[in-house]
Amino acid sequence: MKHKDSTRFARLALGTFASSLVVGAIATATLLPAENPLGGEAHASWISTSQTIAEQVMEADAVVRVQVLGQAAPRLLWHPTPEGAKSGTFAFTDSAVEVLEVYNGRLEVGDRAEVMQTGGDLLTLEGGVSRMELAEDPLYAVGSELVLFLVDISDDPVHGRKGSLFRTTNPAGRYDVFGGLVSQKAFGDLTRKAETDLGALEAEIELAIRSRDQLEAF
Amino acid sequence: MKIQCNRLQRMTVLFALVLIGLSTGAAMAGYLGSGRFNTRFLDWRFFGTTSANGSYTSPVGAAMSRWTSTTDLQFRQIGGNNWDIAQYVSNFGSTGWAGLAYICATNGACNNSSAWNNTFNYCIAYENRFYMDGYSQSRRQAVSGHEAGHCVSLAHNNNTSSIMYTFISSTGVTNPNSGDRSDVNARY
Repeated sequence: MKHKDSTRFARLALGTFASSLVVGAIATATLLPAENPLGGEAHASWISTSQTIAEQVMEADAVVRVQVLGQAAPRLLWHPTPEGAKSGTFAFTDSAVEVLEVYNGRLEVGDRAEVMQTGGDLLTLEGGVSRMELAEDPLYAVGSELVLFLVDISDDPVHGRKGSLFRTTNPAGRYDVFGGLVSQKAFGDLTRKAETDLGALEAEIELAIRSRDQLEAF
Repeated sequence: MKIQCNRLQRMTVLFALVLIGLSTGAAMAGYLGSGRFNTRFLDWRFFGTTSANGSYTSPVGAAMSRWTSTTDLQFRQIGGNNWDIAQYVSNFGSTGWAGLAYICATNGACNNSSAWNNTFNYCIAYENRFYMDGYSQSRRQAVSGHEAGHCVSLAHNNNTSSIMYTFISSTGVTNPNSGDRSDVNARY
């Protein structure tokens, strides 16, 4: 290719690429279908920035594999609506779980614990049920199995009670287990992990715990 | 070394660049869904306990003003009902989140993809005093502005200079950046 030709082509290529970027962004902004497949991503501002297994291990009070036994009726908080103050509801749900495996922390296999999530099933005025839940941390299904990185909030002035109460560090502290595989929804596409083997996750957790213990020993 | 390209090869390169550009551009526009309010003139109201008012009205107001001054949105604070966006400051306890946006659509759906893909009826930006009482005024403004961004359909992104960064509490960005502004203006 001659020099002039290649310069011209480089300019053309750059212009084409830039135009495509703009067209792609505008098209997405204005031409999305009614049911946007890109929708449904996270929109809570999480305090914990832990994303890797090592970060999660450093932050969690307990790391366990559990099975969800059941859920209590959601605890409701009132919130306003434009139709008049204090006519809406906001929910928190506590799930009872049985500990199947302990990787770290004071819980033991066979223990039962309560894990709190933001969200819950709300009764509508028409007698139906409307589920409020966070896209990145949907309510646990009863009977499901999970690997959880838990923070002890038993002393929390709003949610605490006589027994122990936990929540996950953030959505990255939750792995759904199904058929020996684990998957994670955390933070939408920012950190979505492909399904992987439960054994591989457990090995990574154990390695992170050993590394943390070695750091603490210094 | 000289590189010889024929016309077919050049066309292939251009086609590939178009594909990459379109997909990257689409990914840059971060929305919760295709839904939005049907106007850019939006009324908002502050809700909070008495003790919250003094220390939160200023940063929340500043957050809303910043969107108005930098984008096509026109936020107006009101005192009565019939608001479009509520900034609701309360102690929600150790939930793990500092802020959360709750969008309800005119079809009755709230806080799910059905709501995010329809015409918005109202949105509540919750701010959790459990964490935010320990924040500076500018970090409070950052969280309030972030939740207001969700209320007008913006989703999270992984750009630390964006007010829609996933972990806004850690960066404290108070100004919508150029990407935030163009996303809002493209929709409103």
